Amino acid sequence: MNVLPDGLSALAEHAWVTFVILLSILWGFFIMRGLLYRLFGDILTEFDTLSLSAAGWVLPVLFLSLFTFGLSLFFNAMIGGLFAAVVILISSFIFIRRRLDIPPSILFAFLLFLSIIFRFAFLKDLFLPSYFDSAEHYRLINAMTKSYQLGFLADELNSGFYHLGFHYLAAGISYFLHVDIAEFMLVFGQISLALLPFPLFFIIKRETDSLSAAFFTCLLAGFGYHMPAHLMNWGKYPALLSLVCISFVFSLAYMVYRDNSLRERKSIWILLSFAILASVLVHSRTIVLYGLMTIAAITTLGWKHLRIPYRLFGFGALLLLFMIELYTIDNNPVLKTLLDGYLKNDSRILILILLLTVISIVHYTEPTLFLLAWLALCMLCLFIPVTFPMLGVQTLLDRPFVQMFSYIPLSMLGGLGFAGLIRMTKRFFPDSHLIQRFVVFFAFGFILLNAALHYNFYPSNCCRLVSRDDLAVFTWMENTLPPDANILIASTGLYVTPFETSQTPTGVDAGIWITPLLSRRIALAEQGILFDQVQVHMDLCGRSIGYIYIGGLPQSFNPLLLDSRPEWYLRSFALPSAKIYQVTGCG
Amino acid sequence: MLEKITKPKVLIVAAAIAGIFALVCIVLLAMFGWTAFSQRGTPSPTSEPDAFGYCGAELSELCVVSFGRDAFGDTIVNLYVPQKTYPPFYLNIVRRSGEGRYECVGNKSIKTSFYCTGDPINLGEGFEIQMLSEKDDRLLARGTFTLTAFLVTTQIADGTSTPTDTATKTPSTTSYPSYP
Repeated sequence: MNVLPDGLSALAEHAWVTFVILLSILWGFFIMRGLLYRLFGDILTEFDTLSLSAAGWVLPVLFLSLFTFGLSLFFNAMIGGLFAAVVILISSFIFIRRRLDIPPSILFAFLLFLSIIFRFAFLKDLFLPSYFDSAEHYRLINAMTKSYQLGFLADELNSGFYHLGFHYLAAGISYFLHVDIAEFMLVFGQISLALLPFPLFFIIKRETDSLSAAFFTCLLAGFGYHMPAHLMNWGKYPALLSLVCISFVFSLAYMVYRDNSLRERKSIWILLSFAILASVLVHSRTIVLYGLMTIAAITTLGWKHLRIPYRLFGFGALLLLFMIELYTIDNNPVLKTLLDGYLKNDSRILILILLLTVISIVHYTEPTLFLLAWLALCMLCLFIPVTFPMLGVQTLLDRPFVQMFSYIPLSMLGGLGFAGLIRMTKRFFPDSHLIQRFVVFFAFGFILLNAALHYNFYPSNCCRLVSRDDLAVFTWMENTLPPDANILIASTGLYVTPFETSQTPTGVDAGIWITPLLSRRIALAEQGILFDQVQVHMDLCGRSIGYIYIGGLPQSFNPLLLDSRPEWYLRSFALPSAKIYQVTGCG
Repeated sequence: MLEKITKPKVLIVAAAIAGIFALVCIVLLAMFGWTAFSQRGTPSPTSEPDAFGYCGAELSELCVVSFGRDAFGDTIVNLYVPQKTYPPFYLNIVRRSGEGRYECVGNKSIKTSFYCTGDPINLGEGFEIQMLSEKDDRLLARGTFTLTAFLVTTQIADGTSTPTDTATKTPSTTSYPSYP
């Protein structure tokens, strides 16, 4: 197993950026920890605050980035930077005061560090973030850092931008701490992934009062499913950060729902509001998730007040809805990937979860019903069309979003079921500690063994668009092509909902990085375009396309078609996995 | 709020900050220690010239990624060069017909990517690539190659590399799912 040495080697390679990002997160972490203690006092244990702060760090870091960006545009970057430094110092004095409880903190730090090392194996030999989303995020962060330099909003941002939160945060850290944007994205993604399982600890510990079940949930969330780690193959960095926010919002909402004894209810509501605001800034679709969470909570409350026969009927109806949804998703070519993703990668764990869910229904009926209802509502949203003025017909949630989110309810169902299993063994074998311990070791061992044998710590071939040949061609283009060159790249339609009639074209190979890295214009064309046709050549000339970029992937343009017409296409720079042709003969 | 901070509390805060800083320093030192440890086997410019060949599945040492051609028919040598291990360099390719200098250009963002261009090399030709320091022409590394095709390195399961001919590659037209 090379994961450990590969992780350490990548950690060493990205030491400075890791240091900078960890420092930023640690600041947010300790500010949130201090704030939570101020609000809740001794109601929370050290484990609780560590778990909540592992998600809550986003709030201070994000809002500081936002204010710094605003001030930098209003005055200049120096004043913005000074403001940030003063806020960091003052807030550290105010909030970082409470002494750490050493044993939980050391355990937390150890697990986090170990998790970071494993996650960093992903970065071995990865020089640019995966897939096409990351190129757009890179472009937006780059435009924001440019805005810091200029003192006003860069032109690139005037054409509209989305998922502001992640880009503000990344641009702030990248600009003031002199971090390369691509490297920031790579490292930040892996550190966020390493932190992601910890926030789930809080709810399961509170709900079951079992440390083992809480750790089991974290283990499942970390290494049980292909999600959330697979998000890095999609280059969905804002979505990843939104998962951190979702965990935090969910935990705070849980406190509001469960703890009537809390003395500062008004403060929790304020904190919850800020958490939701931050979450929506990071990823707008999370607001839908919170709406569904509220509906699921109200449904659960209502269900609790029903008489037993009606309760059974309610549960049955929910399970029936689940079955219908799964069947419909499985028969929809666009949505099928959602099920395939879990069934192909996580089938063993899913069988275990299925068994644990049955136990969970018996022992923790109410939270199980809530989680199942939340998940069922999310899947239902895949079929509810909404029309947006700019985007056309969409659905409330899209397939990748539901796929990435599903690991949260699935892990929690596993945790609840595991707590139920512990209860059952204690009940059936009250005197046999050996059996009780065996159950715990078996469950943890199963997940760990599955992770060791089947978990993919490395980038998937599906989504690595850039090869080393592409880099050489980029270098040549940067040194040779005029700044106003217009380059054609291969694209395909993007399908993430069943209602997309007008395809959203998106790049399918390394060509997608030309604009962010080289600041050259790109134009998109279907990958199956017939370059040897006269009409196509005339069209390219008419559109002032000067160059055609061909990556080395199966979905890239077919170079043989261009080679067959040397009078129209001059092979300017060609390596086996990347080529650039000049369009000639336009007369 | 600040006036509420008493002297002992300031000390606690200072100690906490110092503690975090120390922790981060330790982590950082450990990382740099690992870098030094892991780079013990990497080329040293002052010792014997290194040997290099085609790149394998894992890139850790100097290697040739691929060969290609530009618009003038000149040969392109695409190189992987480990970061901070070699001074500015050029290639000298020794063929039966003589020697030729190949100028090298590095990628500004990804510091490990270089390509060098020079005289055309024919298919089937054997040659030696010498990497020389631009400053004092010191021989940094050398490798022997035969250009049987314009090659691409294919990663295979056991971690070794197999050069394969891609001249006849025909891209498939299978559908490409969104977010696979």
